[in-house]
Amino acid sequence: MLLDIDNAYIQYGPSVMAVQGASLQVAEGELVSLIGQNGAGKSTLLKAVMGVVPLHSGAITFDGSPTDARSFSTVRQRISYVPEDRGIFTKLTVGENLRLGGVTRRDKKALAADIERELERFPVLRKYWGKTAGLLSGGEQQQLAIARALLLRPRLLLLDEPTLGLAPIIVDLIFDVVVRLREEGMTILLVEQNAVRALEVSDRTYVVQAPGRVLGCGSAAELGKLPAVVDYLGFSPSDVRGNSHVR
Amino acid sequence: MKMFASSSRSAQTPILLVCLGLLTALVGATAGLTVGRVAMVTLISLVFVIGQSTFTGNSGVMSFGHVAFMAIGAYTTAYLTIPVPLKGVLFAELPHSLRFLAHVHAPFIPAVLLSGLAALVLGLVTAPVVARLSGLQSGIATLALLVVVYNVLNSWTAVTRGSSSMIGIPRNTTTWLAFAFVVAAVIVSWAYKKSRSGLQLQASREDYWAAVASGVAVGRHRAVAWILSAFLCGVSGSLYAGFLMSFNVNAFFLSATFAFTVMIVIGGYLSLSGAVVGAVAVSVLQEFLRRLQDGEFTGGSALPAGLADLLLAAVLLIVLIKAPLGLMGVRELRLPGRRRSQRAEAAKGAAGAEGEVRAPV
Repeated sequence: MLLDIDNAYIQYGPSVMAVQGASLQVAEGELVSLIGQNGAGKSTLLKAVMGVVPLHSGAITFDGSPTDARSFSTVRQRISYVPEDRGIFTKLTVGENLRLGGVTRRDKKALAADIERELERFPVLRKYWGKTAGLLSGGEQQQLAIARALLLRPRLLLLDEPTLGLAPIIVDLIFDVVVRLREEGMTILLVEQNAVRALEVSDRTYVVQAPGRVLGCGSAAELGKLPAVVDYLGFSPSDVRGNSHVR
Repeated sequence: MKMFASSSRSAQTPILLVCLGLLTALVGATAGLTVGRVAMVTLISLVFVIGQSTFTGNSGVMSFGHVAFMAIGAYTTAYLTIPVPLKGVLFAELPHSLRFLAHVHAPFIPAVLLSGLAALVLGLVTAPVVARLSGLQSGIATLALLVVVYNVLNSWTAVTRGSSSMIGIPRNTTTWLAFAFVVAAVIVSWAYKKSRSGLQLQASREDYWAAVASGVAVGRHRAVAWILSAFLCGVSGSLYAGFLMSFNVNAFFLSATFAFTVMIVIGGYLSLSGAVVGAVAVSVLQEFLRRLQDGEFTGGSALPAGLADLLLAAVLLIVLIKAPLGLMGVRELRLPGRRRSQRAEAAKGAAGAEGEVRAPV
């Protein structure tokens, strides 16, 4: 397994246990999504992988290395993270944001080619290259955040609610990009509120219930056989069309 | 041609800032004694605020300790330029291990650079602390640096003359020399802002965790900016000493810190242009308010003492309320002009990552 979260407990402050015993695995080349209600602990799990929040107990390993080891570096291991608030540098230009995505890379020619590839993937970024990133719309900012994350040439891409608050046409674009990245062989862990769309595109989906407990895991069809999951979601995942379907 | 247009556009800001400095220098060179003195202090202030902005503008971390670097620069210049016979009298009680200081002497320009280097050394020593702190902690830590340096200078009487004045410094700071250092400071600070290190530091200013997640070594870049700004502030202290010819330790404490902070906050502490515009605007405003208080605009009847400071504080409050990021915000001075083709900008940008201007398509 590329990413292995084993019985993770994560605590905020002295009393709030945000995640209680979550376990999940992501294999190389897989597109895995986490779905569940607000406050279920999905985003907290991504933050724990990035080391932004510490584990109370349990273990997270990436390619066999514990992520909480002092020597572990998410950048060296090429784990890219697009946070829920997008984390773009709002007062810098689109171009500067993209250059910062590859700031640790020494292969300048390849980086230039990668930037060009992302500009092809997200043409709006070419259009607004010299524009201050904070002036972009929410959908444009999300495209910038994903493009910047891809410039690290990630082995694992963590996407935290990338379609939150976006117009339907942009939601389609984002899911289209996610599926294409999956087809290119990228490993993706996606946190998504839109359960139906997440089930459609994912190889496997984890259904997470507050506080950070995994109710079930599998493909849409497999999850449909779990009464607790159907009861929690309010619909049967097996009714959702298979993965890689993008409208 | 595109390359020329691109580089000339990016050079607009430093050129405009130098023009602002040139205007100040011309006023200083052609006006009377009083205005000339104000212009000279403004030029020296410009070197200081440009230095401080190199750190605060790029890192977003406010500092209240940069006057300590100015003090180190001024004291170093005093030691290097006061005539040796006079030093024998002024520093008769130098500790044995520092006796050589009474015999060293340097021409003014090397003394200015050595003063900057002395401040740089202090920056180097303190950088590990500053690099680890943000927000309020950083503000308090830099204030602590100021207090420590002030107390050392005030208490180490045998070396610094304590609260007594440093006297006998030759007047070497001329208007055009100060202007030359303004030009150099603008070039150094702008070059840093546009460097890879500067860009990464600005990213950490915008979103610390996103910058860290992108691989930005925030502490290292903060340290680089801190050390560079220490050098420039040390140079400004040297120019200050070479202009005033005498000073004492109280010139480098809270009132100076407040004055420079007002300049940077009013102009905009996140941009180099903000620091420069703030320094010029506050200098002009202070002179106007001083004349107002002295009755120059009220038919000779002087207004109550302290009114100028009250009005300056009121202006600071209004700016903080109406424009919390200062007059310039994060913007830099630019000439209004036609928008470049965005396609050309994108092509230039992608190629820029490769280190050459070449369309990637």
